[in-house]
Amino acid sequence: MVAVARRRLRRRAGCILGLAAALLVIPVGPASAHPLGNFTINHYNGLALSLDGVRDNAVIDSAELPTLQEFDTVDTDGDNDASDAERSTFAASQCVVLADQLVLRVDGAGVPWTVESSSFAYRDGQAGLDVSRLECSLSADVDLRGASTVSFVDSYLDDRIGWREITATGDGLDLGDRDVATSSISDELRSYPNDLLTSPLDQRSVELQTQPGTDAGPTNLPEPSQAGPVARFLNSMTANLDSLVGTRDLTIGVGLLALLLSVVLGISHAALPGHGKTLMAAYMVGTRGSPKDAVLIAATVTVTHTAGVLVLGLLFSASASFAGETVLAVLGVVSGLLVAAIGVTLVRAALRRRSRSYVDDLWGHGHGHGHGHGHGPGHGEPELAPTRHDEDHAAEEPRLGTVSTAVVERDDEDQSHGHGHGHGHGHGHGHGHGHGHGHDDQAHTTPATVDEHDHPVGHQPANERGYRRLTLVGMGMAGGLVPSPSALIVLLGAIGLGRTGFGVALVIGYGIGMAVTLTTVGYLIAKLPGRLGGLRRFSHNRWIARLTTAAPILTAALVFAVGIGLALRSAAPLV
Amino acid sequence: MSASRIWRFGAVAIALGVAMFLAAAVIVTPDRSAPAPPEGRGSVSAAAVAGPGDMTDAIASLQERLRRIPADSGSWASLGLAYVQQARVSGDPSYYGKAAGAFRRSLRESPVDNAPALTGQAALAAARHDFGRSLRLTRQAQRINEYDSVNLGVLVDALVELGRYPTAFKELQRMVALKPGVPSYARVSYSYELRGDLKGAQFAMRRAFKIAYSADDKAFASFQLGELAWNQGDLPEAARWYREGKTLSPSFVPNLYGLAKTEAARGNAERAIAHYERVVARLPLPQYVIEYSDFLVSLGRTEEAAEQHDLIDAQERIQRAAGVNLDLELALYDADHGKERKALVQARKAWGERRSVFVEDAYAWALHVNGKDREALAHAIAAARIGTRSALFAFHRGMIEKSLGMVPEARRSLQRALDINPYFSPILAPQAREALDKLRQDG
Repeated sequence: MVAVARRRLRRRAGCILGLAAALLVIPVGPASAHPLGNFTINHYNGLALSLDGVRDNAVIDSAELPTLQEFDTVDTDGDNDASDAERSTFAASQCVVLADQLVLRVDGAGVPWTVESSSFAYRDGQAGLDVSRLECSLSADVDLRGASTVSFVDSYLDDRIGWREITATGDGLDLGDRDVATSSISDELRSYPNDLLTSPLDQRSVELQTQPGTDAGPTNLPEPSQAGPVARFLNSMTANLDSLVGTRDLTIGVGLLALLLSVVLGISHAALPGHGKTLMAAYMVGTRGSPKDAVLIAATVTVTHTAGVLVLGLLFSASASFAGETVLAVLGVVSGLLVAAIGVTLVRAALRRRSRSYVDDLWGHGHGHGHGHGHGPGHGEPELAPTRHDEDHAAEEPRLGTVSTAVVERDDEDQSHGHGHGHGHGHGHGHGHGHGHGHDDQAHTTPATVDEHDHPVGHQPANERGYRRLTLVGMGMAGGLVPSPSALIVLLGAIGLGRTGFGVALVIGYGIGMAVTLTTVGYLIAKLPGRLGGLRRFSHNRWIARLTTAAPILTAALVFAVGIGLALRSAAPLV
Repeated sequence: MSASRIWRFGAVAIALGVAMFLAAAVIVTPDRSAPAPPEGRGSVSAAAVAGPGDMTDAIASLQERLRRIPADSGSWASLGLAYVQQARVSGDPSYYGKAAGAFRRSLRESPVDNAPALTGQAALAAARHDFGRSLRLTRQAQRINEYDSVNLGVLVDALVELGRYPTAFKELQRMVALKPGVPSYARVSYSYELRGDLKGAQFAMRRAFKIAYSADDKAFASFQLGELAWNQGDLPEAARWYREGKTLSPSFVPNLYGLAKTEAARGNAERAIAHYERVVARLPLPQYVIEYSDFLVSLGRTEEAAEQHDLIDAQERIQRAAGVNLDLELALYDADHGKERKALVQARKAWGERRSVFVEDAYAWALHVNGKDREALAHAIAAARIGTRSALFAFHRGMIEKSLGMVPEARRSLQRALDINPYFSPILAPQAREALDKLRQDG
């Protein structure tokens, strides 16, 4: 939630600040007798549902000005006094008007209300003026013995400001899940809660799925703890960091602690799906990359990511008008397209190789696979099944792009979105094509020369190595382009608290943490295939051989498909 | 790969990354700086800007955040400002109390150098018409952070309200340089209007309209453009802007009010009344109710007008009971409706606190209806000191001059009032014509 709040905060805060700077001369009543202001007309609807009907205890509490505005309607004889008779006549007629504006529907069909009783009374308000209270007891006969959908909409005077509260209870009925309470928090408009962190209620409608039974009450406290233990741990760490950043007195000790925490967060963040680890694994294995390559990719991811967070953070805080969500979505698209482009080069390489029946490095990917994803589960996904991680990757990246308003919810929400399945395998085998990525890349840029060089990586001319490194940088950027929400939160939090420098330091710490993880992973990948190379002896098995011949194409195609998928998903909110 | 190469690639990555971010930001970011309504076009009530929906969202997310991190003084200050704005948007003053609480809390969490909370308290003081306090607080915030355009905006508003125009315009110049955008353009427009340069005012407000992003912001700018046209008596242009604004944001009341008065000026009584009824039902601000009742009186529908008068009296009682400075309109209303003494007391009090041209004008008129025309003339002249083109100012001055027997001056002033905007008031414009005819016959 922090991210959401934070992002909105940033965006809105500027907005609000700008707006608030105006001078608007509206009558002000800080000591207003009516807690909600002298203009307000406040509504309460207490719905009581039973098997054979719906009752509504409807209350309209009018503050001084509306009470005065309607006085002449009450005082029909114009003697400047609202007699008992005038008041009860007014109550009866006004309840009919009100009942007409309270729309009750059962399974889509409108049900009329009957006014059972009504009352209208004045009380003393501010400055010698009156406030008034209209109470209408309404009933409607409906048969709720079967499962039904009951909807209620209060459209009475819907353009006037005021508190609007609905409650619902079921007698012998289960009302299902809903977002209204069972009892009034304003004591039916008699005492309005006055809490700095509560806004006046604005409940104008409710929809209930009823069935006979016992009502369990509203379960509208979602916070479903679908996050796995790891995600929960990370979330709580983020919260800790957040509150550290927010401490009133920032001592050196606290500052260092926060910095350390941000490095740890960076390490764990990089261990989560995304960040091009899978792609990196694919390349590393496929190209028999060196630890240096791993360092390059890790550095690119980290630098891109850190720069991205800083730039985005600055834009967020510098401009109230910054449409951060859209930018994130665009970045998601770019990232997806980069992945797709890499997929294209993989496909081409695989197609070329297929004819030559390279069985070469098959098993290498196997490892790459295993390692590459070992981190996946960190992302709130307790199971470690390899295929699932890959799904995580797929699910993760687009969400990073699209989670416009719900950056952190992503962490709590289930990862089971599992689109883009098989993605991971994609990488896993993607390596299959073995060496010569250099050519592929070159193929990508200068197709004509493709087949002329088919040397193993090590023998590539310098310019091909350059191409390859550019590809590596491209991969790194694809992985790091979409900023991590938590780093952004930390930065914005620090900026919001007037500690910009500290926030930048934290983000850099975060980046260092990411680099540590990615370099480690890359290094492991670079080292392992060599050691496990012995496994290749299995390749004499014909099936395995065939499978391994086909796999590179399939997986390369999957990389492409996933890239496109990521781009499309990120693009969705842009349309 | 050598270390230097790695660094070179790192640099390339950074450059590319930054470039992509910036490109993305430039491409997709519409300019949506929020507008800040300057104070009402001369008369009161520029009304609110942000849609209640936007504001409600902002408030909810700030509340949510503060429940999690109650020590975040910055969010408390933002929440307070959101409450101030919400009170302005909805006209619901219960938010002012909450705002005051939020600013206090922010200052408790961060007592030293907490500029945003001071800016917030300044905005709240301005909303409560305490412009002296507002000015002090913005100056205090300015000493902590002199590059905050929001604080500058509140500062400019306070200076304008206090009648310290040269300083106000100087600070406004800084604000525009610091952050060009709807809030500064809207204030620039107002500063031109105050100095009688309506073309300049229209130019600046058109720009504000053009760069405003949200429908509510556009509706606000649209209303101001309507007001600028109205103040020159250009009914078709005014109606066009009000209509445009109403289409953009149907819930934003001022445009409906604008349509009501243009219909009234065109003689479409029934349509005007229908609009006015909706306006005062939604947001019974004194200005709206007073203009509605004046219109009813001009139609001879005194009984309906009396109902509105009751409402105005109630507003006045509530404002007095709440201990806030009465709206200037209410003082002018009192002056025109048989409560001359009260009007003078109120206007004198206001003049003791602030010397804006609007206060000068109201004070002059209150003095006039109490028979103190000599003194009144001095203030009527002071009201014209920066060249404000206001039909109401000119009318007041003309009537004062007439009382003093200054016939040529009175004729010129009254003629000027009618030249500026022949529809400026359903009651006063006919009075101006009548007085002018009489002066011509006598002369």
